[in-house]
Amino acid sequence: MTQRPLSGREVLSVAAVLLLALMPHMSRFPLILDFGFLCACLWRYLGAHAVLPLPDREHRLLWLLKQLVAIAAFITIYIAFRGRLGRDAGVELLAALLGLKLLEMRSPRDYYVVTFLCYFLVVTNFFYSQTIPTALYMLGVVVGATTVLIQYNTPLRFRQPRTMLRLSATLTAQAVPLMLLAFVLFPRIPGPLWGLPQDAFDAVTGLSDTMTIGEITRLGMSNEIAFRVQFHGPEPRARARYWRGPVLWHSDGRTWHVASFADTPPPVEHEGPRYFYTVTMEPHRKQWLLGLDVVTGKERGIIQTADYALKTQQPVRKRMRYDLDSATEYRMMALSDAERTAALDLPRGYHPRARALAAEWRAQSTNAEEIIERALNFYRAQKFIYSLTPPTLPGDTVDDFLFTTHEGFCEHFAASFVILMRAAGIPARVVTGYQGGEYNEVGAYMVIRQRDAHAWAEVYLDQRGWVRVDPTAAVAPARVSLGFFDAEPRGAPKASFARDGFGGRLWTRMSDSFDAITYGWNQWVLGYTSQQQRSLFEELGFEDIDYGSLIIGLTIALAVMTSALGVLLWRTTRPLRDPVSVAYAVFCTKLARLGFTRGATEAPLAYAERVVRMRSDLADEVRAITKLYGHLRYGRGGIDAKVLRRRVTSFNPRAL
Amino acid sequence: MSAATAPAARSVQQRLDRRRVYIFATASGATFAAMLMVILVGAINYDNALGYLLAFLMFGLGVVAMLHTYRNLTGLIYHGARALPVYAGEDALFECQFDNVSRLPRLALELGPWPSRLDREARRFMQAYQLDVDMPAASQVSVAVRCLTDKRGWLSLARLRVQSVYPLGILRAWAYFDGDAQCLVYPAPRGTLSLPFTLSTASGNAEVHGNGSDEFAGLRRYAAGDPVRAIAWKTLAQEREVMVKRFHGQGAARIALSWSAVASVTGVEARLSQLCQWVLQAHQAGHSYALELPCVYRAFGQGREHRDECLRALALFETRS
Repeated sequence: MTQRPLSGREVLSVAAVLLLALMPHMSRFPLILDFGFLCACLWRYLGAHAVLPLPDREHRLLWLLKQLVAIAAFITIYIAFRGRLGRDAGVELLAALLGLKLLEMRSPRDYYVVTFLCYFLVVTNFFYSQTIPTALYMLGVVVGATTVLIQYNTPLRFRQPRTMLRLSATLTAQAVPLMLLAFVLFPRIPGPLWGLPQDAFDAVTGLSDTMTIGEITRLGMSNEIAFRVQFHGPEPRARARYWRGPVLWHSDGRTWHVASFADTPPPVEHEGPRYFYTVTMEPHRKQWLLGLDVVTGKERGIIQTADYALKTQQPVRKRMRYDLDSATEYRMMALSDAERTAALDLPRGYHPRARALAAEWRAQSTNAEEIIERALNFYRAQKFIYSLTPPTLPGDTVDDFLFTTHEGFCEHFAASFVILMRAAGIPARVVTGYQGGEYNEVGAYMVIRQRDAHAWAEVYLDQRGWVRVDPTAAVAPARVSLGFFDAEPRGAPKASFARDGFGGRLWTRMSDSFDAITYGWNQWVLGYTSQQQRSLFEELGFEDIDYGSLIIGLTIALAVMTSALGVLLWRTTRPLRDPVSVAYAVFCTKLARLGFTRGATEAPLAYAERVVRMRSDLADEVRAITKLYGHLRYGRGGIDAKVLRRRVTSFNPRAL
Repeated sequence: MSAATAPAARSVQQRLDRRRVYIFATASGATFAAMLMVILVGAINYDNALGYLLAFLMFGLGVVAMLHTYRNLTGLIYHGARALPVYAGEDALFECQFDNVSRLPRLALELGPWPSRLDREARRFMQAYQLDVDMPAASQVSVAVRCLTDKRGWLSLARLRVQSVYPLGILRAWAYFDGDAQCLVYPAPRGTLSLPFTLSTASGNAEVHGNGSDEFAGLRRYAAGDPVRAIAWKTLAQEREVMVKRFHGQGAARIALSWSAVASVTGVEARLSQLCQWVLQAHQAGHSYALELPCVYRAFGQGREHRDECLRALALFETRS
């Protein structure tokens, strides 16, 4: 390779692609870094046009300044991140380094290295966002970086930007089939190879192990998707769609906690239909998994706790897919002594009025069912309001809610109901999770959003086992049967627009389509893990495929695809065929069929006369075509080769 | 062309087919591969699906670049080369004929002679003699490939190397064209002795090389080597044979350039250089001269043809080609 110095234009294209690759990071960087990087680009631009001197060896002072800036940048970043070189710090360092490198880039080697680092910058963006728009944008960056490489290798007089861009796009397009093959077949190794930096995954919203009154309100407002469910077969009705999350047992009067019993659930007798479905859980950094009501069958690796909640071994850091089956009619009969104690435990010194009320009910009732009925009637009779924005409860949360404010959402209802039950001597617990879910028509799956978060109660009845009681449903039945927004009395205008009229239907349809695309993307691209790979090959009939066979398959597939591309590309290296000769050859072939094979050295005119001597009926055509050929071959031009071709095509002599 | 041109190069038409093109990664290609590996390992570690996709896209780009780089050379046709004689120490210029008969433009080719032995010095020279060539679609390209000459005799351009890193610079494809193109290298005209004394004044055979003041002596048929200015354009315009005008010269002298005359010079090569210089001086002055070497004799004569005969004799003196 010849080592020639870089031209200003070349440096500028590298800077442009670099800027393009860094752009999404810019909003995350500290302002000073953004500013510094843009300054470096500008400086290099002005330097390339000889407006400003560049900090090279000839300008010692500037060079020194640049070195100082470099050291300052490193120290600042080091201090800002307290020496922890995680994802954010790494990207900032890289950006600072590249900005400075831009200023002193001179040799082709620098040029190549910086361009290759543009590819690397693309992957750093993927650590922050893996959405479809990000992917498309980054595809653009890859095409840009490839164009920069092409530019350097293209001779000056052939450097038309459009041509180079087109070549780059062509190369990328041709690389895509190979990419897809490798993506599907490359063996996926589960788990990280080494420890991840602590900031590898940002915190995301979701259910937690605790419930403090007021926390679920925030979730209730959010349209973020919690998980998606695809049913294989029948689907449960809306009012039966309770998605079970962590079960809370212990209360300190304000905050509820999970309990830890033995991680083996007692057997469940299920009645009625079982539902089979696949859940795609969005990452939430907790170990909880969601399942429909009571899960009766699950994959290996998923733990079911004694209270029928689902957990994984590791926090869900990535989108996760798992298959389950559930029942919505069942009998959960088992109650150990430890559980009974926990399910009757009341926080000492709290909720005196609630306890008094419950004691009163207990005295007046003959059985547990009656007490429950009284409690639910209490909520209805006292005009309790279901509200997403209840007043704050600074004092005794349960007593204030039950006897003063009468306004709250599912948590308030569930927590107060459980306290009332326990005070009346009925074992009870709070179950958190989600309720409802909307159906995506386009993708044929169900979407459960954070706003569907819900809490309800379960009570233990001696004959029936654990029974779900949703006190919220007593107050706002629509909340449970129709979904969240319909139950909201003050209304959410956006939601009502989304449901009503033609525009609304269109809007719903569009947002459904968009979410269906996102779902497909999440499931088939982002969620393509070792597990997915395995099940894909199982569906294709390859049971228990191992790494070895995957690698062999990958090699073969890549070889075949490369050969196919090669065949495609090699067509252009073949000698150009001159249309005149081709047409004349066709003419000769047609005559040869009649028995007039042209001699290897026979001149066209002599050949024509030979034919005419035997076939005077063809004289006009044969002579005309031969003459036309002569004109095209040896004449001054002015005739299109197409004329000959058309003539030859219509020349169809019959044998005598 | 004069008679001293290389023996009319036999048609050595060679088409580069796939098996004759080699390919390997460049240093930048190794960096590219390293970057790909870093991205892939990162993608595995973070289980980042788009990271995987990027790594595989880069892999695909590498493979596609390989096909394109490879394709840039395949199908090129080499028709051989010819070269005019040069004096030792000058660069020989081989006119190499190439055809690109496809519709694919072949850009950013590097062409150069490939030395028969590959030592460090040869490589250095080779580097300096590389040419950048572009061959547009369906084109015929003539490339003047330079070769260093260090000694007289036949210089052969046995091998040409063509290479290209286009389009991405991460892979280099190269191929060799073999041929038997030869260039005659005359001894370097060098020496301190002046032309030996005149034998006699010519009595009039300066023929066509006479200067303008000489007397016109009729026409004769054109022979290769005759100067263009002697062509009788008038007769040519009458569509008759190509004729040249003949003159009776006056001032030409007869000089014998003999081996014994350079006896004072030490070394065969130095003697040949001296003789070469004399031949050129005698020709310049329009003298009639003869060349006398051991076992070689070129009789008195004049003109370009005669000069080239003599120089050829000097170039090939005691060489076995």
